[in-house]
Amino acid sequence: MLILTRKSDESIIIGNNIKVKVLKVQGNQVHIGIDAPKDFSIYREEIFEQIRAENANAVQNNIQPAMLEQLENNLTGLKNLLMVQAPEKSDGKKK
Amino acid sequence: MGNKNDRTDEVVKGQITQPYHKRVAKRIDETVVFEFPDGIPAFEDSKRFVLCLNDKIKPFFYFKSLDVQGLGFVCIDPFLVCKGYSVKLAAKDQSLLGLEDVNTAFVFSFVTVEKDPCNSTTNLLAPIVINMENLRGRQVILDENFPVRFNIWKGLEEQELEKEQGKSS
Repeated sequence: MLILTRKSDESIIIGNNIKVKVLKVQGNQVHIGIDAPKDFSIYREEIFEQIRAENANAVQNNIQPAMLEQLENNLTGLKNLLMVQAPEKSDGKKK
Repeated sequence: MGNKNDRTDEVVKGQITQPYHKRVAKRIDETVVFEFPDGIPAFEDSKRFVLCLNDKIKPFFYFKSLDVQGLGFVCIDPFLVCKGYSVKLAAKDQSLLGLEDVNTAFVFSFVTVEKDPCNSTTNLLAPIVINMENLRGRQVILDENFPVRFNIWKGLEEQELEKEQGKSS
């Protein structure tokens, strides 16, 4: 990892279109300003990792006929809860 | 936001509050292929998805990868389970989606299905947003403090409580 020392109001340039500026240092907090092209996503790492982890949790490898039944049974339980709780959605009875 | 100047120039723009089915559901079936140029965090190789609506599991639906066999998610309309939920898209996300009119956006959230339905959760912090005009989508991470694991059952219970209180007052 490249390590650079910067003071408040000093910046680094990455490539020719990304600028990272140290705005303020306050105790153990650093305020950073980033100028980057619009198609770059910028996230706080821990939040991004949390989303990755939850996606991995949510993923259903069983959306295949053999496994589908168990999943749908689990969903039906949830669905029943939803139906009880959201009666305003019943726009006409099922045949 | 507002009290902390965490983000200086990335002002949020569009706000989507209507449920998906009112405007764009008609245009969705299994032949419609959605492009996710960045994939989905943790599944970056998966860039094309389809939605499978199935009456058996309504109001849930499946979001299936065309690139990774067997990869899929169970999804729901987050506005249905969390009253007061809203999606404020960052300018960056809007531009990545090519979204000019927030009314053409289709929003849903992933469900983590647990054996006990009462423990199932949905991810309100990182909904999926699709621009129905160009069928491009991405999982956005919102700035607000929505939970990653929002308990669906508790959310519904709270809504019910609110309704009751509204009636009695």
